Amino acid sequence: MKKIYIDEKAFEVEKTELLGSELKEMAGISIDMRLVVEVKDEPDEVVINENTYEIKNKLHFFSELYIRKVTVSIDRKKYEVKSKITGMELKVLASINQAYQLIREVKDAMDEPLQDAVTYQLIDGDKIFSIPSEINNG
Amino acid sequence: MNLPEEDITYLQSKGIDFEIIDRPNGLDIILKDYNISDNFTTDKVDVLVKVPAGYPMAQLDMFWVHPEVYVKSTGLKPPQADVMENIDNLNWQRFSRHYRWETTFTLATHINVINKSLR
Repeated sequence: MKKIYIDEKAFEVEKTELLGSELKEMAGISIDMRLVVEVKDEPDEVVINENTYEIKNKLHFFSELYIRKVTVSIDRKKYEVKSKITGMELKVLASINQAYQLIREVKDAMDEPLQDAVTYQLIDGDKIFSIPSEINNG
Repeated sequence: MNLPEEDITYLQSKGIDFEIIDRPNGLDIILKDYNISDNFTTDKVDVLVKVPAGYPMAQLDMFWVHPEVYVKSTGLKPPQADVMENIDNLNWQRFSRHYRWETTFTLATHINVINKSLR
């Protein structure tokens, strides 16, 4: 029997592997809700419903519901921030010019602009950078 | 000159096919078969970014595309993108796009500026 944690709540698991969807079901989390698994010394990994995960003792998972401290980079500098935070809060924290746009890097897809008034779920290892809002043609 | 590791990681994480060409005063990066908006007459171009030797202290500025693109709705070249430059025997269309450079900016910043310009 192995013990894993989802949002810091302990679950004893007999199986050696579980699907992402099974993990969410076990924790009573909506299938559409984002869940991440903490990976030692690496960025968090997003749990995909259809993927299989090896169940190891003391594995930690976190959903969007849980607010924790994560380490992200903003313009190449590391910051420890709340996992739920607005675009404006990030700008203030990193002393980013308020006129600039914040962007979160997304693997294999277009990067995601972060709006000032919107709350975002950040994960460990997220890379955020700023771009100027004013681009001069010519 | 070498491109910083984080820039290479960024390009790789995007699945972008790219080529780096050493130049006397820096290097050129060519992003190959880069998808652009369907507002233009072609949906894929090669994009060239010139990286000066002093980068990232020195800024990234402008970008070039090949083949040239026209705006579908007008049939014209995009604003301030009407200059053609011969680079390695190919005609590249220069997009004059300038912004205030911060030394914390990276290639990711410039690529997002390029994306905005090619929307």
